[in-house]
Amino acid sequence: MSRTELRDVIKIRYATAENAVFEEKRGFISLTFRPEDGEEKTYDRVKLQRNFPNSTPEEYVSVLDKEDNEICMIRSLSDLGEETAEILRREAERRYRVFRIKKILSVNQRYGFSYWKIESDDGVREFTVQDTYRSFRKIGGDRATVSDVDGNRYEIPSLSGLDRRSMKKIELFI
Amino acid sequence: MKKTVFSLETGRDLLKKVPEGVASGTFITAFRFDLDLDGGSTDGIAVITEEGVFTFEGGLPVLSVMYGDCSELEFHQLIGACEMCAETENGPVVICRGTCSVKDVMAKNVRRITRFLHTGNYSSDEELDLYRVCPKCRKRLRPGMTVCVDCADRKSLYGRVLKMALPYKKYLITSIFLFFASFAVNLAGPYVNRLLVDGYIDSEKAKAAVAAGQSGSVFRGFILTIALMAILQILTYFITALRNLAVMGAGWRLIIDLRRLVFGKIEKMSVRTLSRRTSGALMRSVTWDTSMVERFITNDLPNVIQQSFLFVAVTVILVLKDPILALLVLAPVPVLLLFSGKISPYFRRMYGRQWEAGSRTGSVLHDIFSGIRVVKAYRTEKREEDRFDSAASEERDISVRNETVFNVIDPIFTFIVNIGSVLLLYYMGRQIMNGRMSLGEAAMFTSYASLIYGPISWLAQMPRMLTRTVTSLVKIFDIVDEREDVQDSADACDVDIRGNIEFDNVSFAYEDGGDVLKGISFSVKPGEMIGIVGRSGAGKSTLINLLMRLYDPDGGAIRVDGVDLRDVSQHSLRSQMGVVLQETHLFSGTVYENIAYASPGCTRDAVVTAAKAAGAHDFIVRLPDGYETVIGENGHTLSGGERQRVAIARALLHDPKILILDEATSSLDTKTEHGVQETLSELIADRTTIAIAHRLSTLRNASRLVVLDKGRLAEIGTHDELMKKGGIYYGLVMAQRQMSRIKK
Repeated sequence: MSRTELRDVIKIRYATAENAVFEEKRGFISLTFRPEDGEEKTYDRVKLQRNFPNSTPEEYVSVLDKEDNEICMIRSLSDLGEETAEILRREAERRYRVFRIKKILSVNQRYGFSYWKIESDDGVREFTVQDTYRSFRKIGGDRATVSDVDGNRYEIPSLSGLDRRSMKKIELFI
Repeated sequence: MKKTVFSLETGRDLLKKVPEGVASGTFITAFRFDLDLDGGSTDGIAVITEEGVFTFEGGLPVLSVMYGDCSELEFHQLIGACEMCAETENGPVVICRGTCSVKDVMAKNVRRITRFLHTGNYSSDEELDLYRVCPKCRKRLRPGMTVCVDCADRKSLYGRVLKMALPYKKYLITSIFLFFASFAVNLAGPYVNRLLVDGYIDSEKAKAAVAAGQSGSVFRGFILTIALMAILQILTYFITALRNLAVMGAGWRLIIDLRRLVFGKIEKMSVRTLSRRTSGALMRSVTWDTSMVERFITNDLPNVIQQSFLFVAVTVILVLKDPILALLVLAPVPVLLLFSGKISPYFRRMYGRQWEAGSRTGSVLHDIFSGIRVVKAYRTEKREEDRFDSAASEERDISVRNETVFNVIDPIFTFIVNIGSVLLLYYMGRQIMNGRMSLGEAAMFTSYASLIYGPISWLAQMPRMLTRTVTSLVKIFDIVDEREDVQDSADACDVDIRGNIEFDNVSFAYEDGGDVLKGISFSVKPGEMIGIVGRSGAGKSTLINLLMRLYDPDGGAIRVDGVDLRDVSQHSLRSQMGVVLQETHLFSGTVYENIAYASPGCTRDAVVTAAKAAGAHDFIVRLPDGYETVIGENGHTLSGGERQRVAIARALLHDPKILILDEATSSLDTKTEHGVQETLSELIADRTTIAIAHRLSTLRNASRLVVLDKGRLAEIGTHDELMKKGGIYYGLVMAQRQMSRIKK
């Protein structure tokens, strides 16, 4: 008797270049998807949800419909061909707004909050962080993220690539 | 002062910056957004009129969306960003995007437009709780706070604290008086010391007198001076003891009063206000912040007074006696201040890290212990041991390093002071040798010099201490000053409820997000049982929250027997309502106390009857101590179904005019539920009942059903009417029938 594997019971729908067509229309991504076990259907507007935003932002990306139900999953954006991957990458960038920190100009702590002034890939920004030790997270060996009181996200792509003066200002949180 | 990227001007101010004649329709408001449609930074303004939404970037028009062309406006929370969209005939359109810094304003404006489209009225900024900025620095207020910490008027804060301390002035005056007494004793010590040395030990006169055979009188004086020193010591002891007693007397009374004040205020807060704050933060305010303030009043404040006086007095004495000497004594002070100013932030950081490491070790332990069964089941003991080990080693490494650094650096302080003493010795030695100073005076100066360093190190701590106190004060007063948003109106009256309920065009939204209820209208006759049905998130529980008046509706009104809920006193309203909620909370105490919670003073007969009616009696008699079994934390654990039955018994005993059941029987097995249902249906006969249930069979006794869909009232009618209609309710019933068929 052959053993039933979990993956025989649970089928995950993966989007491939063959069964899925993503198109960009007026700032939205539409999807025409033909699952193995069902009929082709077109979705006006789909959302991309990164399931591993920190380690592999381009792999295992869920495609959700308007009601946040998963339509299918993309194993890797590159599976879909370079042109589509580029469209999806742009959409993901819009949905995930992360400011990349190039330089830390100042960090002042006061009354349990910290006030940051940084130089990002999109100009100088100032923001306020609550509970700094918890909002500042190291991911992997060399990256770090910090979220401000409003929920904006900032990323330091490489801690070791940071200049010495910037590093000194955040040493404490690492 | 921090500049905000987005100036927080209100909508009305912004309208002035938009070119005229581009947007049509009467202006309602405008708001800023900061990302363009591709996600890049921009300087955008969205103008809302009665006809549509118009966006501008850098003063140039970009997009216009007319309400007539779209079926719905939506706010979407993205990650690190947000957007406002419209659903049009040709599919969805993004109107504008922004970072999270503008999400509150954007979300609330979407809510404002939606409500305008539904009701024809729009809410003001104040009603939407928009633009909560500090009137002084224009910075946005911190979440959950109504006062700006940076701009809080310190003087008025301290003034209010002192006012609070007024009832204990007896203790405080005593303690300040005693502080001065000990201050005098402190200053007297070195002086007596000098008398001793100059009068007897190193006195030519005394030596001559002893040589002349008058040793008796000299010794008497000598002994008296020694005795005086001893008396000073004893005085110091008594004064310190008395002072501590006075401080404690005031301290404990004050802290209890403060906690009562803060706690009382928190209890009065509406659920809406409470949900803006975390329970951790509230608990911290009740315990930690109050104790900080207590410490400030009883300890820090008197200390500031005493130490400053001591410092000034000693300096004056020294300067009067010998300015050069005073200069030498004070010489290390700037060095000391500079050094401690440089080094103490470093120490603070060092120990902050150690504290963090310690708390990490603690949470690793907590994590492992609470999951110990999983650890054992998957035999991962070794891995968890390693995890703990690495956390503990990290803490060890940090601690060792800190201690090393501390032990190397801390003696430097002593060293600096000692350098001062060496200089002092050199100078005094020369003065003595030149005969310009007596040995006694030298001893006195040395003592004074050592007295002065105490206040200095203490005063160096002051800024930190004041910061800490102000932080706590601001938090406390923020709670104390919070306005009550669900208030009894001035002429609120007690009403004897008959059970007529009317929802009139009710709209409501929680703090963040869009409307949860949109223009709900229906009425309930006394004695009716209304079942509320709908998918999760349809607004069922919200409807009940509003009826209980945990929140006030944002639009429309709810009336009981024709009286607006806002005009009924909250006490009389809730005392006539019985509620069984989805999550049943039982307090630690006996089963009996929990059932009788809302009806103190009821008879045992009544409690047992209520328990029996709720189907709870049968399991209670099996508990080790029957009705006196202690449940809750550190007590007997009840299952979900048992807890629910206790909660039902509590509501039944309360004998309400309006009974609210929110998934009240969801954790009961079908047979028990059936029994409880039978009892309830007899009781319900002359009570207005509102029940929510996912299991539709629970609602088979309902006189009418209200079907909610995405916050709107979709269908209303009897079971038969709705089945005939073949709408949402029909679909739900069919789906559940199919499920139960499969189960069979």
